[in-house]
Amino acid sequence: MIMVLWAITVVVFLLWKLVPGDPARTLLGLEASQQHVETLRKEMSLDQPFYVQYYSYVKRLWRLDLGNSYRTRQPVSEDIARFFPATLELALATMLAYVMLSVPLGILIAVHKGRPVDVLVRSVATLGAGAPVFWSGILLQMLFFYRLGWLPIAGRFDLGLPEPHRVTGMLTLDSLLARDMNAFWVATKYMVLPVLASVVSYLAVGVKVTRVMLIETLERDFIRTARAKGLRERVVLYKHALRNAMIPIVTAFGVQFGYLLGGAVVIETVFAWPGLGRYAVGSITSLDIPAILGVTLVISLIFLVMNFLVDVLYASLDPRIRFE
Amino acid sequence: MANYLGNWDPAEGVTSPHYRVFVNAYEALVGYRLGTLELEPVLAERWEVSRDLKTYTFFLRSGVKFHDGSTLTASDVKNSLDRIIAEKKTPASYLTSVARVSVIGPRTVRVQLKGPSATFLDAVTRAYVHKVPSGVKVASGQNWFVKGVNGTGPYKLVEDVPEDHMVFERHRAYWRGWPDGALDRVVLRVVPEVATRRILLERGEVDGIDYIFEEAPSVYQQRGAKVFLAPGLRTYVMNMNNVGGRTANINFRKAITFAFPYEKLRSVFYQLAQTPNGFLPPGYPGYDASLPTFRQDFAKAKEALAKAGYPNGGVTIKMMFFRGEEQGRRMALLLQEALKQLNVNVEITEAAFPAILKALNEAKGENGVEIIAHLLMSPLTADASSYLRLLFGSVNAGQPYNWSLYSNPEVDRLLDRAEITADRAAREKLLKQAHARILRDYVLVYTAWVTPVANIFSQRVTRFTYHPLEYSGVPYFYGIRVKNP
Repeated sequence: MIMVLWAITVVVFLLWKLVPGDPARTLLGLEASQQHVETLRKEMSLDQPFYVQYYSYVKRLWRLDLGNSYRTRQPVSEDIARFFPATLELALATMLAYVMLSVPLGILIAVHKGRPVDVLVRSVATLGAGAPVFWSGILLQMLFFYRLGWLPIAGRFDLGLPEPHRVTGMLTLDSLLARDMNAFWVATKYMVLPVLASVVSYLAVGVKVTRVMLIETLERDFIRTARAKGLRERVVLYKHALRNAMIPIVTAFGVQFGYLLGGAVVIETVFAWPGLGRYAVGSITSLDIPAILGVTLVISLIFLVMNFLVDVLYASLDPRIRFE
Repeated sequence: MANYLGNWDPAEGVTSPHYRVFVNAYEALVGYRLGTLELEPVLAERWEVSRDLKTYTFFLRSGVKFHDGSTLTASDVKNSLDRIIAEKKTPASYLTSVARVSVIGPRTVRVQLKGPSATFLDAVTRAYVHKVPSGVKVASGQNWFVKGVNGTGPYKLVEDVPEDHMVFERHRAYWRGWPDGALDRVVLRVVPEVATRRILLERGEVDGIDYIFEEAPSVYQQRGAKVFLAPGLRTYVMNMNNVGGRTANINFRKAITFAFPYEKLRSVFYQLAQTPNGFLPPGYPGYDASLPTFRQDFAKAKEALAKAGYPNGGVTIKMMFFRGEEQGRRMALLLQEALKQLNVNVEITEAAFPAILKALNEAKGENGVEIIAHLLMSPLTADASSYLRLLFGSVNAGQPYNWSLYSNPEVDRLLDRAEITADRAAREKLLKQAHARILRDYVLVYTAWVTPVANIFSQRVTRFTYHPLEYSGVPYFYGIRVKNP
């Protein structure tokens, strides 16, 4: 993991160096004089050789110092700490809804392979996956906000209400910790549409992976043996087949959780969700290099952690797998 | 609002999200009467200018309160101006002529300039007076103004949730007082997606939205919104490279100017644009109504192209426009289509800002990019000499925003003289001369004056005054009236 992280820092730093443009000019603004720009370049060590800049960059990273954002003038680590919980909360809620929908549906259509329900579920899921997420998001807004008026269109919380005391930064969790059920309900309401839009676009993958792996497992010899022993179909399906089919399913879900975090940009833009994706977009358009590097590192780290957790989960699913 | 920045330091900010905060929470010594280019006293109730135009003495209004309740003093003004200058960021460019700021009395400040200037009052309009609230301790190396806002303006920032929303409330002790129907509280929600903004407006969830030509204003009107149209001062230009590529030749630039389809461009702005006759728009100092309006004329374009050494065309030029800017893309395509008729091929590149800066650095020589991006220019003060110098001054060649790398000592001299000419009529004459000289050099393609400017609100809003010296999307809350505020 450490080697991969080191490689990421090198790649990210190289990419920064390849981007044309002057961070000092970006920081000072278009109308600042060239003399001011040059002074700042020196202060930022931009006049130093490449390896010196990389060395000081890694040295700061070691102290968890991601530098200061050119745009917000705050430490990038503080900015990320502020925006990340919103993205994590949305990703967790999406993942929860996604797993709760796609696994049962996958099982249902695996069991009823080739029947109308199989065709129907796969067709609907594929349609959802085919629609760009910004388009399905706007359609959901039109239906549930504009036409029906049931759900809020954008944002994270009612502006007139006091937010729950910040502990984790995740409003649903914080409202539960504060035992404020009204705040919990409000925060949940705001999550419904972005979660739904994400689930619609990801559902096909989860449903199809579950279906394919389950069908493949159901055709294996040990399932035939289980059935021959006279075990009930429910036990065969859930205890023997599903558990054996879970490794690739968990792998797919693990990877998708990483994508949910990394690909939050579109959903956060459409639903005005103040998370890391929006912070990243703002940083990219302002050529805010420390912020871009910081977000890239954090997202990469999460991918690594997710991979690690998936590996750990393998061991609990399959007793033959052990870590040494 | 479409965007958020999260740094409210008046010594740093210069973009529309900054000014959204500054014009409502801060004030300067002098300002412009809302909706006009006429200077009016703001924090200074009067001022005196020395005969040599080198010393400006400002007499402050009494009883002006900051949001924290403290009273405005001459020291606050001196500290603000000194801080803006010391920070050396873009706002400091308005105060480059300042040699020294001195406190003469509790409510008297004197500004000594390095040289004479008749336009210093215009510059001062962008120097916002600010101070750290009394009782607040700021740690060394920390900048309180990044997150904190403490000015004398009519609205104070009471809540700021990054990338989500900002809440402003009345500054009860505001020195101008509070007229009936003025807004009590203003909530700015950050909604980056245009479709979401439109739905919110249609459902009556918000009373106004940022408008950036996504659709014709009539579309909003048909759906029940109120559109306030007001004269603007914005000029759309395409930067021709004056020192490299084919456009280093004035006749080639002339050919492009005559080939551009000005009339067609108006549809890009839903007819909210006028074909210009120069850079300076009507209503702005230096505007010259006697100049002929640009129009597409292929005969003249061909003649100029022949003089440039390409009687039959057969040449390719390179053009860059800002990535993601729809108006720039369509302007580039219009030019490409027009020049095809002269057998001139245009290679269009959609480029991000860093790539455009790189092209500027490599502009000189035969391989320089001929058209380096477009700019939507909007003056922030009524000082036309500074505005022209920004785009056409030798001192700015290659720097923002003189992206044509234009340099002409005669223009520099005229602008310098205009800056030290106190007599308005004489200054106007000099500005017109400089403007005409610039036009004769075919520096840029002046593609459109973007006016009138559309501002989209709900039917609840009964009065809104657009200020031509502000960016679009920067409303002055104090001038807005709504039904049932």
